[in-house]
Amino acid sequence: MTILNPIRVGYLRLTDSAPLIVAQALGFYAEYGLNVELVQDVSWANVRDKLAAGVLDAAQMLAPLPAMTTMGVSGLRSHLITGLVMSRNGNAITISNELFEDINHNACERPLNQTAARLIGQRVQDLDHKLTFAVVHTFSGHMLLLRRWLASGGLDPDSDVRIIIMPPSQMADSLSTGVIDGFCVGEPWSTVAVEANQGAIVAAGSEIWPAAAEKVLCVQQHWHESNPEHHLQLRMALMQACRWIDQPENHDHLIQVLSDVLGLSATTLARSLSGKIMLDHKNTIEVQNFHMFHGNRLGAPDIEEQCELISLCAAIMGKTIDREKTLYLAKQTALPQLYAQAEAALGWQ
Amino acid sequence: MIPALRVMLVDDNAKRALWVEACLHKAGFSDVRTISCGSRLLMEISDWNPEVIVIDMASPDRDLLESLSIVTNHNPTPIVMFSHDHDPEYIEHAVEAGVSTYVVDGIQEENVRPIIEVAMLQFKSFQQVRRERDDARSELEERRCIDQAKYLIMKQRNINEEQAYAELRKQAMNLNIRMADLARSIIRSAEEI
Repeated sequence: MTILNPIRVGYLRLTDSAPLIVAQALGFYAEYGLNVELVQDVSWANVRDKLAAGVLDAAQMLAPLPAMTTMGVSGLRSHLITGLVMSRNGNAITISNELFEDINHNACERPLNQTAARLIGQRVQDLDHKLTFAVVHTFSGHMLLLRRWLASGGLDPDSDVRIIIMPPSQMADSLSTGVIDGFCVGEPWSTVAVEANQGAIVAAGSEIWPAAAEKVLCVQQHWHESNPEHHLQLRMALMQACRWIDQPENHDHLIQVLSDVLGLSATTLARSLSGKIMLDHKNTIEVQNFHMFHGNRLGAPDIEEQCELISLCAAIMGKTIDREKTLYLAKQTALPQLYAQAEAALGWQ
Repeated sequence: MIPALRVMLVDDNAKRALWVEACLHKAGFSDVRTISCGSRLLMEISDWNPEVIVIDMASPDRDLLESLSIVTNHNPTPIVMFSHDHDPEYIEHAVEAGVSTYVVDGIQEENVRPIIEVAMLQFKSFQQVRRERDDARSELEERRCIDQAKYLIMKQRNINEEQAYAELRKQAMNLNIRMADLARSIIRSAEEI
């Protein structure tokens, strides 16, 4: 067997980085002769820049970012593509204890997402200041979820509240010091805030937007053209990892592996991975499909879904992009045929 | 006399921040504010309106700074980023893109002033280039035109995709113009018909 230069793959410290980490720990990359080096980073902007500059060969990426980077509206312009959605859902909206008490919310009432948003919507006229919410990146599923949730409560996300960008690690503290009133973020960061009694979870992403594309495997189009084999092997290894994660008998092993690599407590990670979400210190509920890694071809990028992400991100910038352009951009950046290719190679069809 | 430039330094490492601040002072930047926490950063930027921001690449606040340039009503600010990664290709690529200036190996005392001046200049010219480029063309737009022109040629001459592409390239070379420009004129004339 030839020894290859390592394929450098970037990721952030998040629960849904699991496929990338599991594929390494369980030897799925090695099964395909891949030598993968996982590189943890601190910001999406860094990961994207390093991918565009070729310092990374592949990376975990927020679902809207390949298209947004290809358009060049966010930092570097580079043609990025995805042939695999590694995870769906996995986010939650958390609000400060103060706001939670203020809206007098019964945490277990369903549908929970609309109830809390509606209560905040009713309360907002009486407040003497604008509520501030935080997400991790302008073009993220978190931003889109938060906006949809606010709208479900009758709030205009552009004028009724302020939405700011903040690193996930700073969110819990900013909530308890009153800098922000709520945030939408990927796990484990909501759970971390609730465990530290710094806030309460009022909605899971899956309740607002079922099966939303969250993290994708992203490469440069140019890298894909020069390394189609490696790209295929990478997708196959990750699809195997996603299936492994989905099997209940691997649950404990999964949590151990993630806890070791991410340096996060096993108890914290176990909550969202088992779907038993601790809303506050009194209530824990079971949320269906809190994280989705495998099943029903959920890993296949979807052109229509990509079009929707592009349109919603354009709306954040106050722009509209016509249907033809949106479709073209979606087809240039989300490639379901690459998923089908890996699926066939794995003999899953 | 050096005009006072408002420099904001973002660094969570207090010890290093002190040192970088001292370097900035020595280089003649007297108006320096150091911020360590992301949540204050946003307010400080809007209150104080810094003319340049200096940040460590290892800071998670990068996504936040980036959001400022995405928001349409904000006046973007040049950002100097220092990195401890030794990767000349990355630095070169990033600087080319004009998004930021990357400084390898942290900040060297004697380099501070030129680095910041270069960053400001680069930023200004990048904004200019970007405006022009965004007006006229994007890589994607060009590919779209080429694809469209290719299909027109395929239909007109009843040839396959590869042949149509070769034809387009040959014509562009003969005319000594860019393929995308030729593609645009082909589409335009087809529309006129």
